[in-house]
Amino acid sequence: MERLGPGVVQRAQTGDLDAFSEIVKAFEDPLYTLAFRFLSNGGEAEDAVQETFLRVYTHLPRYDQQFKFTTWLYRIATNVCIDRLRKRRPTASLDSEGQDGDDFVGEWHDRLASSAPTPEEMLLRSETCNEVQRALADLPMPYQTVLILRYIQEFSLKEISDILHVPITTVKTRIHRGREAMKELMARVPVS
Amino acid sequence: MTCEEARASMHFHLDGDDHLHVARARVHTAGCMHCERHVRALIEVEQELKILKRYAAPTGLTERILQSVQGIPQKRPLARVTTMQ
Repeated sequence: MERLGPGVVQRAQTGDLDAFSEIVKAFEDPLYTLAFRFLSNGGEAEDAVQETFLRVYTHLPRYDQQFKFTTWLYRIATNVCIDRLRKRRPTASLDSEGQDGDDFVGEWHDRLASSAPTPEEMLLRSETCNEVQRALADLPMPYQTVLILRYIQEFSLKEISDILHVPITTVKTRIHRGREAMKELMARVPVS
Repeated sequence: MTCEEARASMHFHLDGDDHLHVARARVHTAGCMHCERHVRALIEVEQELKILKRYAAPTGLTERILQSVQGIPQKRPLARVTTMQ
């Protein structure tokens, strides 16, 4: 996990922009990866990271230092990504435990449309077409969320439970169902 | 132990929780071709997720973020409730 120097968060809490800049530099890469894995789109991921840091900056004075900073930061980032996904998937909800993922199959095709891609965008698009990313994007949101936090951001079950404000047993259940759903979705991908 | 029970328990094994029911599930899985294949596919899912590429943020994002917060007021700290001794 990324490290911040001593006192950086406290200084940023009082509006110190140099300190806030240190926070941005320390976390923008992992947060961009998080957002891309949620949204499967480079431009939207960038917007999500920008929105996350804006929320972080404005709410920093309310961050309680008895809690881990990364937990607070990732809670905001995860919520930003989930909000954006909810706008795309109006029926999806973090509480929708029983969905089998079929509702979202095929939707990823719609996320690719845009014009004049840059080389960086082309790389991101090839990643979007990656079967694992497709399967991840097609999962019900609660499963997608825990799998990204567990395997891509490498958080422990306890940390995920803190980030999402749900019991560890719920995190485990979602990971178990998410792994099963990923296995099914990946098995459906035709070999090219 | 049924295949369904064994598969459910093997998820706890993948989480690193090796309880008694997991030990029994491992014995079942070692002797059941279908469950063995099932667990192997789950491990493959884990591996595929772990090796997904990590990205660097786009060039200039730091500056754009810092620009976007210029002049934006921060929220006031929440008032702390103190108890009288």
